[in-house]
Amino acid sequence: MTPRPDVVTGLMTVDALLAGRPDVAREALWHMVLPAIALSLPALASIIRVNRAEMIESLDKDYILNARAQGVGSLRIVAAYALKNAILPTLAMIGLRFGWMLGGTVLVEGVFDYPGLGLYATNAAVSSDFDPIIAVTLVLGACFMIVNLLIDLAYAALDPRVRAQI
Amino acid sequence: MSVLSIKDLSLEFRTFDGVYKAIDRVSIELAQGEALGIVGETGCGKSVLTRAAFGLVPTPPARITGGTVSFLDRDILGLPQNELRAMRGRDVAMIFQDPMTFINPVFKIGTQLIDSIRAQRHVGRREAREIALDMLDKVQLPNPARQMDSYPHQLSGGMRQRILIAMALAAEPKLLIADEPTTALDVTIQAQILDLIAALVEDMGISLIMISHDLGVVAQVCDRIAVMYAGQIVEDAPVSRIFDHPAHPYTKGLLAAVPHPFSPADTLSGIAGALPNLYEPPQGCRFAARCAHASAQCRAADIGFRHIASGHAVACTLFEDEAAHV
Amino acid sequence: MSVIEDIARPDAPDRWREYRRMWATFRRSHSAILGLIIVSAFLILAAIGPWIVPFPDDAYGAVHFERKLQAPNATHWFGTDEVGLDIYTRVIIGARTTLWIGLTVTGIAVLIGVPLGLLAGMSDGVLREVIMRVTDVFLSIPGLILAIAIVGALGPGILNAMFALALVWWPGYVRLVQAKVLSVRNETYVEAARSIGASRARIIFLHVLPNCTSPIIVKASMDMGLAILGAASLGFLGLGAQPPYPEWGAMISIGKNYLPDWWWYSLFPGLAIYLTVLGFNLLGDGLRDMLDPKQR
Repeated sequence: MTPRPDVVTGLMTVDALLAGRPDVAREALWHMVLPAIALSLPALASIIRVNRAEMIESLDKDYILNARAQGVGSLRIVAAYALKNAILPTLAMIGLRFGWMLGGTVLVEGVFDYPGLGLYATNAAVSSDFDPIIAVTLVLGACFMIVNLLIDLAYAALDPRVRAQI
Repeated sequence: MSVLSIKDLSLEFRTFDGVYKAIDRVSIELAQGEALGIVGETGCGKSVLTRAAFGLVPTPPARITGGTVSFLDRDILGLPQNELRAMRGRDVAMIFQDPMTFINPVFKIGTQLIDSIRAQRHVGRREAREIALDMLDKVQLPNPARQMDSYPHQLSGGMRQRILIAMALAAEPKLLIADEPTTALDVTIQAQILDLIAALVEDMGISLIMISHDLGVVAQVCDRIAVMYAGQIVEDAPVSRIFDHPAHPYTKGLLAAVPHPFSPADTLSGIAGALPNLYEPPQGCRFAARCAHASAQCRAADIGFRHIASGHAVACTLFEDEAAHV
Repeated sequence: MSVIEDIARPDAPDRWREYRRMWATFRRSHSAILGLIIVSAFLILAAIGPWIVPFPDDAYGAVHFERKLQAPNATHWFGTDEVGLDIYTRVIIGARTTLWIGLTVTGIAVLIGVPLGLLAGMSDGVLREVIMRVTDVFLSIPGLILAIAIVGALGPGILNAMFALALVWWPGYVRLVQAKVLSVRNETYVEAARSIGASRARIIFLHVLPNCTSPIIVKASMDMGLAILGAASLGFLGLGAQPPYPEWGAMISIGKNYLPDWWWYSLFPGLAIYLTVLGFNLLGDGLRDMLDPKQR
């Protein structure tokens, strides 16, 4: 067990790097790998699914038929013409999934005994200690809102019709 | 010289309700520089015909069950998709009915035009841009340089259709297929677009196939008209013959259904009855059930084409083959 | 806009033909059939569970230290837990708990969400704004977190967990129904009905609601799975059903302390959750393909 480096930011990896201890940072990162995989797999699955369905739908559109009729190459058609249309609903799904992932941290931290906000909230809830719960709810809610704001901005960047409404 | 020659093409769709025989032994010849109109009501197979000839109908559910298609003296049925793609755009271009849905909403007009041009010719981006600007000018779009940077939703229907025409003609194709190009537009814009297509086709020496349900539209642009009914061609004649001496009862019915500015509205008539069921098409003439002149002969067997005047063929038992005109 | 639609117009709508077509679409999908089979098996087990389990007394708690933590064997198919309860019995009986939770949570969510969605969709101005903004507030906090907060306020327990989940679930239905109502409201046939003087109630129940049923059914079927998962999550965190109550999440919660040596303790309840949620999701997917006219 390596000693914990001085607390500067409270983030183990960052603190270790600041203290010039890459070995500690690597170990801290290593402890994140499995929880991160467990958290990301469900989101990965549904994002792939939505993107696939949207790609199929958008490849069936008239403008794709037209591009094909003009002789535009299939790589360009799939990777640009269809994808840029299909990515918009996929972004919406990413936003939704991010919320689920925030909820999922509670479970994953419980399983891996990872000392994060989720575990903190659970322990507080079990002992009916209400203030920490409120705090965690607000922090995670704010995170969720910021991510959704970013997604809305990405929407506007990608879709000129959305841009026109602003 | 023949640009496009379709012989006895048949096509069916496999659907939940059974096999839908959309096209039945259709033949079409198109000479260099000729403008052919294909006319028929919704569902007669006129759009599917040209799309199928150039491999744009997804198979399955569609299946081509017979016939040949030769384009510029080359058999193109069953060519691999990459060869068909190289040919589409470069040698044959298409414009479609609804300009709203045929332009990609999230790309700039310029990007799409330049992509099309570069897919058709080996030119650099800068040169493609020059060609694009030139084409937008040719289709009489105001302020081409600004339109290159606009998105489809910022343009009107007529402007979008002009852009689609520019896209289609940029490669100087041999054949232009216009599938109901004006149906979604206002009548005044419709006339402008038709004039534009006619002028450009004439100028550039392009052969044209114009598909429409509207005889008036086709007459304005075309030299020759093929009338389709329930997946078959029933009459094929020069425009003047169709209007002055229509032969097939269906053609006559279509003409009677066109409103005329100088005759009273109560003489306007529809054709009684409905399209036959193409899951199990009737034997013989498919129009027989709706035809006032139908006889037992009509329902017995296939009706071959009878050539009744120079360039005028009709599939109807009311006429005799006049060998002199063949 | 596809070519097929262009030429193969269906004849006048025939109800039976429509049902046959829907069933054909459903049957074509192997995953939908798998979902139907899993969900049916789950419903049957929930219905007849108490009469087929080998140790009915173990369901709600008993102590048999003499047979604790036995590996799966002929008598105890899924093994036994730390106080000797038969895990097979408890998993089967747990299906009842789970079904009860899923139905209650989804049912309450539909009962709150659908009327509010209709109201928001059909009304203009202040009422709609109030409903939609409240909905937005609920949706702006991740569901499970909000449920934990509510349980934290009310205290752990299965009833409180269900109440918390229902409270988290309804805003989804408001959004769904409101969006659907807005799109249907501007359809020509609704405008036509309004123009001939149809009353507001008649328009809502005759024209608008029937158009919302398919998406509601599909969402409800998916939500059954998600609500079950949510309740199991709360149980796992120790905030839902309390041991020895036969609830799958609570069983895993205790069982995870006995991993990896006594693997069967959490494996079988885990499999039960997995299969049930999978079944409802596959069924929901199949229903969506079947009820969605775009699929034609």
